[in-house]
Amino acid sequence: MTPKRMDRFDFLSAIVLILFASGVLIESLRMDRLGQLDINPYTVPGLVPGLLGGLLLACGIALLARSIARGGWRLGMEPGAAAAFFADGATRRVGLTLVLTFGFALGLFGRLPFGLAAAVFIFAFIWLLGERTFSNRTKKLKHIAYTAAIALISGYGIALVFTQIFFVKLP
Amino acid sequence: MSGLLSFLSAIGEIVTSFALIDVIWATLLGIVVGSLPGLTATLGVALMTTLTFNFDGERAILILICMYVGAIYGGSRSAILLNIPGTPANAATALDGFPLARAGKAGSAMAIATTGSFFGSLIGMMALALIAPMLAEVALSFGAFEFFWLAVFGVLVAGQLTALDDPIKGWIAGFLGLFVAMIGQEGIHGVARFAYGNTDFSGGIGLLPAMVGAFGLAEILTVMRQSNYEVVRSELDSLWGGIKEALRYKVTAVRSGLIGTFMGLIPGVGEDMGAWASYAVARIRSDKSEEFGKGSVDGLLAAETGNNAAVPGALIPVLTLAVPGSAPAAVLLAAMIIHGVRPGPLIMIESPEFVYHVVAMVFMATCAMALVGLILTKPLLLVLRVRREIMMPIIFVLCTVGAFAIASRLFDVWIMLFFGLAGFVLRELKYPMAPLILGIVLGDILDKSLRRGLVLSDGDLTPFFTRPISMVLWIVAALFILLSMPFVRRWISGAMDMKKTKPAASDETRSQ
Repeated sequence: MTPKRMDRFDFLSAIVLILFASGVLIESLRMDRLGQLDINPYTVPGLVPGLLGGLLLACGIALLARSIARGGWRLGMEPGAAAAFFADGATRRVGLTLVLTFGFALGLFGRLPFGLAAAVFIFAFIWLLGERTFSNRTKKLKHIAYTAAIALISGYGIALVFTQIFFVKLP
Repeated sequence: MSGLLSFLSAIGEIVTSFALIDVIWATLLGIVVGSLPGLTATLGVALMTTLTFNFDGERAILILICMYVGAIYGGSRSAILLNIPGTPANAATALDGFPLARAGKAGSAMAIATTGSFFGSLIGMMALALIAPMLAEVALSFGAFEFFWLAVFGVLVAGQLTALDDPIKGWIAGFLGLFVAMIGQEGIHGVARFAYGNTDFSGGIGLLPAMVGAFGLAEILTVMRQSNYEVVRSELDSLWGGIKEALRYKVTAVRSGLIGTFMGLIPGVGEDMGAWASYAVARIRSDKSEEFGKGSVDGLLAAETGNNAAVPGALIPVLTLAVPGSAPAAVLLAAMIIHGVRPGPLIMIESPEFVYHVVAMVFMATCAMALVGLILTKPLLLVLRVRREIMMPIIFVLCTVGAFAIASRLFDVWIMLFFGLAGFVLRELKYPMAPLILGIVLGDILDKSLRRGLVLSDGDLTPFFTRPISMVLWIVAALFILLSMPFVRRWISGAMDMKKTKPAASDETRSQ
């Protein structure tokens, strides 16, 4: 990432941090002080979170001031930057990885038998993010069979190792 | 003497039982995990903690230590052969290891790295045996005031040293970690903070799911974001030649071992800084400093000795203060607590033999690392040829099960996903992960110590600043903050330039 771009991201992350820290500070002040229990006032539960909120706020303001001084507040994007970002192979790979990993953890895990869920996920990952250009149909079929074998062996292998060797309960 | 006996009896127990098999497979697995780009020692130890959850305590800790030692060493393989550090601790290794491999000396480079790692680990192990009992004795005088400053010191120093170019981001990461530790029931009155009636949040954010996310999913996303790497396929030269060459640099090995151990001792700093600091000092002290970065044996040896010495070094504060010296050590600390060990100042009173058992475990792991590393040099290269699109989904399945296995609740899987995504974004924005994790570990200590200290002093802040150990800790922490300020750095470099130019000017006037 170029320093100029980093300053822009610092500007945005500083704003998020300031909002978050303000929220922490307000919530800490609102936190129950247990007055009805007559506790020592120095042990109120909101003390340390409040201090942390203050420190995060100070750091957020410092980061914001620095990014403004470096021109990070000029958020204008170069023409075509958004299109280039979405066309970038790295963006596609990260996007697909996110969809697949979250899909497995939130959608398949606990809903399908573990070995099958893992095999489906591994197969989809290798198929979508691996090499997909084949010179002929036989090579394509071979690749599918190879990918399916890896997925099934890995999925059921992990299930076996976890349940039989390490005695972990799977969903 | 009793320490030595405990150490020897622990060695005897390991050698004459099935534990020896555990040592070999766990170290080998550690080397494999470390050598794969995208898999860190922290992730390896975290996943293994979840797997060994049902094991006997000493067996589980032995496996975790072997995994830790093996992974830090294993990272040198990909650093040398791919120019991609297997773990962040091996970044300095790539500087000289890769040029050596390119020059057809891959075998020698791996042997030098093995020799360095072996000596580093042994030096760190000796320091662990000698320093831990002494530090535990000093730590007995620690009260709430000292523990408060120790937590502050850890977060600030780790924040600064892991983000040298931009310490404010290191501190923010540390404070965020401390905040995460505030979620859930607090330890004095049992009030659920930031839970909003949710029972899962009331239980707090588990360290292990957070770490598996921050070091597992975040790393998977980072690896998938990068372009694919080319695997080096070259013939290996003699390993023995590399060992002989490494043995010529005994002074570098000893010095780097001591520096690495010291860096390991500092909370949260760990192996990365152990390697970089050793490398930097070796470069300054070397007669052939121009060779550094171009395939220097001295440089490679220093980096690998430094990072492996930091492993036992990082265990010293874990055992004596319950404060981790590095991110993987934070997982080990959590694992020890899970298995009923109580690390902290009382360890030398309650279970002194455990400290020497840990020393014996490090020793066995070190021996296994050197043997397995040298004997299986060629087969281990095959691991580097596994394509990332095959490796990464398998790792993610392990991460998901690992997060779930600790408490059998899906909430931990969601935590892993959240920390994975947040960790990826934070890394992209150059926020280091180590202070965040250290913050999660130290949050509870900081919270309780500050409030207890205030109760003890009846709201008076003076003891926080005037008690001897507290004073040392806050002064050092303040100095660290001051040194990170740009105007202070400018003033110091200006003063040093003045000092350099003054003698030169006086020499000129004398010659005139």
